[in-house]
Amino acid sequence: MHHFYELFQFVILSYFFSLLLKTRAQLFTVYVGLIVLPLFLLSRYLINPSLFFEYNLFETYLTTMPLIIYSSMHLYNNLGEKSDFYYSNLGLLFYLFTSTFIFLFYRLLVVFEIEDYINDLMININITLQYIKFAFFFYQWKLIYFNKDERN
Amino acid sequence: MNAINLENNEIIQVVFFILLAFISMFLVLIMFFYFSRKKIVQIEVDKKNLEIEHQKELLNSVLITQEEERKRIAQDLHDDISSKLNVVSLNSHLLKTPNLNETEQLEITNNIIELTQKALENSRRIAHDLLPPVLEKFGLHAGIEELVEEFNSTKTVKVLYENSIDFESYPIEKHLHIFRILQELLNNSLRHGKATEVSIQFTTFEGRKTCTYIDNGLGFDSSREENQKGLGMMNIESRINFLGGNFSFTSKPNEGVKMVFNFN
Ligand SMILES: Nc1ncnc2c1ncn2[C@@H]1O[C@H](COP(=O)(O)OP(=O)(O)OP(=O)(O)O)[C@@H](O)[C@H]1O
Ligand SMILES: [Mg+2]
Repeated sequence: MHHFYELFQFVILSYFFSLLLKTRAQLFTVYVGLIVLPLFLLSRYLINPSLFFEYNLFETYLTTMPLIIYSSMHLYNNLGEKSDFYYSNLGLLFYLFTSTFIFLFYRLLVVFEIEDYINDLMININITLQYIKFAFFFYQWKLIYFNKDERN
Repeated sequence: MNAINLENNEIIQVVFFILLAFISMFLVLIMFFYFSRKKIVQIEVDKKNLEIEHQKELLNSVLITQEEERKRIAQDLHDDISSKLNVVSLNSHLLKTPNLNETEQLEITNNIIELTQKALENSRRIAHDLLPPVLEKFGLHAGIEELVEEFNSTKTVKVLYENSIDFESYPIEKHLHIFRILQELLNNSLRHGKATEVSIQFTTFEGRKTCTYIDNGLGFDSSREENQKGLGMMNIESRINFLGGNFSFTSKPNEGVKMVFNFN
């Protein structure tokens, strides 16, 4: 399931950024990532199906890092001017940063076999992060909804 | 033995990815800051260039206005004074012709007197146009009152003028700038806006002398760039710059014009 979640998130958000980003080089990067990455991951599982049943840090890394880069690109594009989906983007960036580290940290605990003590805490932290992200999204939605022609 | 190895392997893998994530996010951050800085500097430079461009335009408009003013004065002098003096000179020559009877002589001298009076009047008018004498003698307040009176006497527009500032201590060279600004604003209101009511108000706001000008004319879309390019508006702006003030000009079609400016 985890694999699907990551891939799904990657594809959806890549598509989202493909709509936001502007310069040709940036769009090209997004499109190439959108095609190459899923193909690459799929072929990995086709070649070695057993990989599918374990956590895979490489995959997590590959599916979040590009999103962080796109998100920074979007921030960069709109420096000093009004930006579409500014707050969503900030929330997303924040979430991607933190959740990646949480996840990696969690894996570290797993391999040290002390995850049981901290498991709940990790899940709670992750949920909190999600809430923060949605708070950003909600704020953005509010801005767009109440101020249709003046996106922030 | 094998199990321990496997576990070690896994630890190494996790640590490796943590490091990789740290490093790459750090790189992204660094790149972001690097490019952002560059872009911000570029934006600053563009802004400055735009400002310089604007200053140049203002200067240009000052020069153009100067030339136009000269042209106008030349025309006035030529049409209203030179031509009349020309006729006066012709008539004076006529006086020299022998065998003139009384009536002819009287007619010619009357002609000369009439023409010189007209020329005198015109030269007075031209001089007053160039520098309204009330300004010099009685100051800005009286000058504006006279200006308002002039406009009110045309009956097409009703100008309301209120002043709570004492201009006595205000440097006299600056009076003319404010006077010209109001003159141009009034002319615009009449010419473009077809305004029927105008209000001019001088107050002290936040320690600065402030003038609020409102007309009820047709107005125009002042947010559109091409509507702000007239010489008149440019001159108003450079005069306000010269007075060390700020201004805001707002207008929408059918909502008249509102201009607020302050000065030192
Ligand atoms: N009070 C006003 N009401 C309506 N339109 C105005 C008013 N003031 C200015 N405008 C508009 O702004 C434009 C620019 O005005 P500006 O005074 O700079 O130039 P101008 O009056 O056309 O020419 P100039 O003043 O050099 O003889 C005008 O052409 C007019 O369309
Ligand atoms: Mg004008």
